[in-house]
Amino acid sequence: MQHRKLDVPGFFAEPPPFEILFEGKRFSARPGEPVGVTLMAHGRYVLGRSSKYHRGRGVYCGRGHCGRCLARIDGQPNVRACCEVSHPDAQVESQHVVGSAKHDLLSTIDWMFPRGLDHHSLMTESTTLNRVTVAAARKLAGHGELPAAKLDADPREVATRVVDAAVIGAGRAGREAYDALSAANIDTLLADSAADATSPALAGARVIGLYDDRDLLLLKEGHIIRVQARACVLATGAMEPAPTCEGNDLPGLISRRLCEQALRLGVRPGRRITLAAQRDLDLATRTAAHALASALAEAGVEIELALNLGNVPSARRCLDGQLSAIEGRGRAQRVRLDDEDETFECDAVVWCPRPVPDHGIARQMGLATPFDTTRGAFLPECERDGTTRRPGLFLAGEIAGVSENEAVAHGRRAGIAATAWLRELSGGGR
Amino acid sequence: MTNRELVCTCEDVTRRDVERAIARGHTDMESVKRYTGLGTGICQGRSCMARTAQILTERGYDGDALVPTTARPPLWPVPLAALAAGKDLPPTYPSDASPAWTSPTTRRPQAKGLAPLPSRAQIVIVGGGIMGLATAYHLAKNGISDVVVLEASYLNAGASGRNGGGIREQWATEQHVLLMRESIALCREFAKELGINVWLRQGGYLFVTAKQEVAASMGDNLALQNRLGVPSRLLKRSEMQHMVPELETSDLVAAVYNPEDGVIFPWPFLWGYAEGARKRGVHVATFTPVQSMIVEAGRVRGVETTRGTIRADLVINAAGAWSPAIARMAGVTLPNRPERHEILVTESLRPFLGPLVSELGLGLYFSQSLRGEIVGGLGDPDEPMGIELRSSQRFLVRMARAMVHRMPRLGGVKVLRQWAGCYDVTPDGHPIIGEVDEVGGFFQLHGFVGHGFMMAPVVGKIVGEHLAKGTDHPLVRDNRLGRFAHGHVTAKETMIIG
Repeated sequence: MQHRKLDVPGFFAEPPPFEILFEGKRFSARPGEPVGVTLMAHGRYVLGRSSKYHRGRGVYCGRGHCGRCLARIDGQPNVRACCEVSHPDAQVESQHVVGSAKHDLLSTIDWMFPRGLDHHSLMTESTTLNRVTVAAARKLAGHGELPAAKLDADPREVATRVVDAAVIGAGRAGREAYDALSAANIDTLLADSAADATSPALAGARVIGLYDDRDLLLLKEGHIIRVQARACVLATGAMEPAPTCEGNDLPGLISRRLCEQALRLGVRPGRRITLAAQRDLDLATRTAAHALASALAEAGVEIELALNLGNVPSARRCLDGQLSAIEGRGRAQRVRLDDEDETFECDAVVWCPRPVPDHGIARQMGLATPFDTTRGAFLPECERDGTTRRPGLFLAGEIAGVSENEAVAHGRRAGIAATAWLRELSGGGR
Repeated sequence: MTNRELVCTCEDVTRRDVERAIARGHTDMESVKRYTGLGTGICQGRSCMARTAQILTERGYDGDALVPTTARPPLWPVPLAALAAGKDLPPTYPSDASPAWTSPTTRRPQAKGLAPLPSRAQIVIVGGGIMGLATAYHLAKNGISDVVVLEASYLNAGASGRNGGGIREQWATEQHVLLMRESIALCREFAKELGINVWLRQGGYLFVTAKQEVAASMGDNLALQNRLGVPSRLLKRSEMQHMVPELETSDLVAAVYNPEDGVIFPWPFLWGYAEGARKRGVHVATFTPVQSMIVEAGRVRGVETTRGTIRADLVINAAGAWSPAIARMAGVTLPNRPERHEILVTESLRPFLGPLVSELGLGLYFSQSLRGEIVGGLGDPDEPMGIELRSSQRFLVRMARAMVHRMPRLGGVKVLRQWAGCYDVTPDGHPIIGEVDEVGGFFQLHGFVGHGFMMAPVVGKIVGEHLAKGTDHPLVRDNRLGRFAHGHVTAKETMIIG
């Protein structure tokens, strides 16, 4: 069953589809679709199984944050299916299963331990039994297999680029910051992890850290690029945390942004969905969720329930309440609310949380990230214009905790602040 | 599927698991992470840290308890082959050539809700690493439970929580061989005695070398080991290739293998010993650094901590890399030098590597953990002395090159994380144990040069029994600090790896 949008008259003819393989079966795909979205179009949400209980795993965030969509792709283990773009005859295999991702024989482990498995005290009563248990644990452990191909080290030295400014992330805020710096004739490198950058960004380059307090290392197509910059603007954005309810790991639960991306690519997340938002939603996310509801309706997706979004005209039911559980046989099929007897059937759940900063990189570069209990998030410390306590390091956009509506203005302010800082460093303005 | 609320989907840690950890006394982010395993999977904490902090907040913890776990690079899985590119080496970091801006990652948060300290104890142990805790456990087992263990940070903050988990009988000195034979035997019984799994897997250690001069000493060590009952044996190239098919053996000149050696998971040792000691009346205090020592009439009489003073008949210095600083408080100068050693861990793979592989003469070692990750380290001859826990690019590059050379199939395997810990290095590679000439009431228990973890089960037993019952043992007799001054230095231990 395919969840693809029908061709709309007047648009350019869609490029010819090709096929990828998943667990040996062929599935049609379109250019630019991440593997996870390709399989979503075919209703395939379960890509692998989790480490301990062998619970189903599949795409959730769509951006490489959550790590739920791991699969073996083209002989490489532990690849995030949401980041890897489908190409003709791509070989996608599930990991950590006995059988298939959908019917994993070891999924009985999840049933066998309804109250959880405390691995600390498992089989400690007898030394012999313990040895057997440890041996069994080893056999069951491990996600990926060794990569199929041998990858040799590149004999060439790592390329070092020396620039005045580096902007990491070419989203709304990053591009604004880059534009501000470029307009001031500052030699600036813009890098983005997306492979299809429509900007002057170094595309497909993912930052792996600030090493030795000096070298920004980027990973692009399996090679390291070393960047030395006097100023750095971090515009790596935000993440969408999963809901805190039972069943919050079920395949078929996806984030708002992944849903948006899928629709842009002409893929419906399902036929009938629950569109649920956290309570006390901020304005930007609420607006985006409403826009998503319209887009879903236009794409022919039924919204069974819209939760905490006020009145959503295209939804069958609109309620305010707390998600108590997402349920289903191996994937999201039903939603249950606190204080509500009725359950809501669906074949996917789209979750709209307030995004939280992807703060790890800010911390790694030496910034403090105090926990904000109201937002339930770590917020990197910075000034209104993105200046941080580290000279030359600026935050722009959602990584600083601002919303996507404010990201553009924030990015511009950060770019201006970085420009001013660099000018002062080189001895006054010009 | 059973209904569960997941906090960490990478490692299947549920909300119930987190609450249980908190209930069992793991009340800060680093401790909850270690006890539950959350944050150690492929997403390295992106999805679970905030939720964990929220749960801690609901349970009444705040401030320093909510500081997220140390952010270490790489922030994205990166293939070893990418890191191994080229031949240039980044400079040592930190150094004058490569100064640091980020602060060292040792943190001593002030956790709240700690039980009040007693003002007096029979024995105070400075250092809540495995050495101090194992000793405390055995003291209590032998009737001395009026003991206070003082740990400056959370349990597993020091070397005990940062090592690669290797345990071996293959050593160059009789003392170490005999000690380790007993220690491995104790490790086998640990889960049953302390009621917590330590995941011992005796897959053996495969020592290899590409250097002829090292091969010669390997032969001598082998003879010593066999004489003492260790079933280590030389391997032919074909046997090596059969045991580890992925190993590059063309440049190797010797290989020795002992099937009794193995790997464990370090953290539960500390929880097991701490719980075992507590059950017998020992007071284990975390987040309680010692600031000074009370010395009266040529004897140490107690310690002053950030949370109060404790007077004691005996103070044991089991502070690992921080032992010299503690000893200075009592006016004692130690010859120990702390030295950073770094480790990396890769993505999780189905089990394929049986033994721990260690290349002597190079300082490389790596093994496959029970979770399937390749864990390993590589010593750096240019590493300066000093307490340093930051991670460096130099290590990552050197380690990647060494791993990819020794096992080419690892080229495509991705690194998830690197970290660092300190070896507590002594001039002769042997520990410093026992009383000192300079001042009374001050017992040393450090200097284990990167292998203290594996020795702690037996050392803690021997020292505990010695202090409780006065039993004599060569370990306590022959390793005193005074040996350096009196010139009674024993044969140097050369089989140091990592």
